[in-house]
Amino acid sequence: MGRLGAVTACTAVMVTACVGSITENEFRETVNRRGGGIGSDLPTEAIDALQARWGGDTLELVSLSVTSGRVVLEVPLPGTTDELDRYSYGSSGLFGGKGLSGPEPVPVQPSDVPFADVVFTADDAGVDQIDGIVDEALAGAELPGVYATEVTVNRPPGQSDPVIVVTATDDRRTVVATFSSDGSLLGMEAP
Amino acid sequence: MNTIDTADPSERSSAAPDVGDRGSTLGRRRRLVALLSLGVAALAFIPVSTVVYPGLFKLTAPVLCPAGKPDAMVVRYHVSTSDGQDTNFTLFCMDERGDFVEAGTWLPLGVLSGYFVGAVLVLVVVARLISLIRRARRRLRSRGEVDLTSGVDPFASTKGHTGPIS
Repeated sequence: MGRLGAVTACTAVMVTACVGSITENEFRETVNRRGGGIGSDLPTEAIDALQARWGGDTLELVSLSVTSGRVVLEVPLPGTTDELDRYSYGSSGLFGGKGLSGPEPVPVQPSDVPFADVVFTADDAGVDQIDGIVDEALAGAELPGVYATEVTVNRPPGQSDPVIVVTATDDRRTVVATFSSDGSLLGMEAP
Repeated sequence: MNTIDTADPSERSSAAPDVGDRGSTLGRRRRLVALLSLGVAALAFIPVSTVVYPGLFKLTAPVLCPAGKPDAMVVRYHVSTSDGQDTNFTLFCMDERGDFVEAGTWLPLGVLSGYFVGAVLVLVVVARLISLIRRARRRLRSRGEVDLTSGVDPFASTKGHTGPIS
């Protein structure tokens, strides 16, 4: 009877432990069903956190990349013209780390474009536009079950303002939409 | 003992608070022990109950989830330990776009323990109130009985009656 009770209790715990919780994959599927989980909140928090560490100086970026639950920022090292640091900011310890981490040195190739041609300020990154931009990109992709996988902000050499690029997929096809930092659609292509 | 009767009133007044202090110290100790026991019970009960039903973490969403990310989800994941594999649970808060933030494991456990202690304290207060009300009622009733027996003789009608009361 005692053994039966223990087995029953263990079985009950194993069965109920699955009730009310989901696996990491199911969680990812939920995120993707809702559009990919990329919005303005996380990059805004990331820039604020890095700015707080940076101090009063204007925060300049070479690139900003947002994926679900994670933002990666590449920042030129102050006082240098060819040294780059990478910071990351996350909303989850389970999915890539929580809070601000870094800097990590980024290897720079001699063939890379000089920072002066591609750098932009965090204020010009247009992160507050990301919510609307992602929604527009997903609607424009016209793919069933489409979700955003990445949003990157960078300034193409020779241009004065950065552009925001949204990559969206339905797991079979991929669509890349490019927007100006004020949220205007510049182009959409399916590579 | 006649020590109280013969003692100097000033001595008596100085001795009385001493007894009161001892009493209140005992009461305070008892309360502290009860509270600590409650904390230990919460520490033991809450983790076990969340293993049995991890969905309990969702109850902490109103406290832990930021505004705009109200959908609580409990994610289970496996971690490798020296004994093999372990299953952990962590609370996530999500918005309608799928943007999420992890509230973690310890914070929900702490909040659930707080809920547990709060619920037990509320029960204790309610039980205490009920017992106080019952005691007050009993006191009122006993006072009413005294008034009845002192004012009215319930056997007055039987006075002078020699036969059996029918």
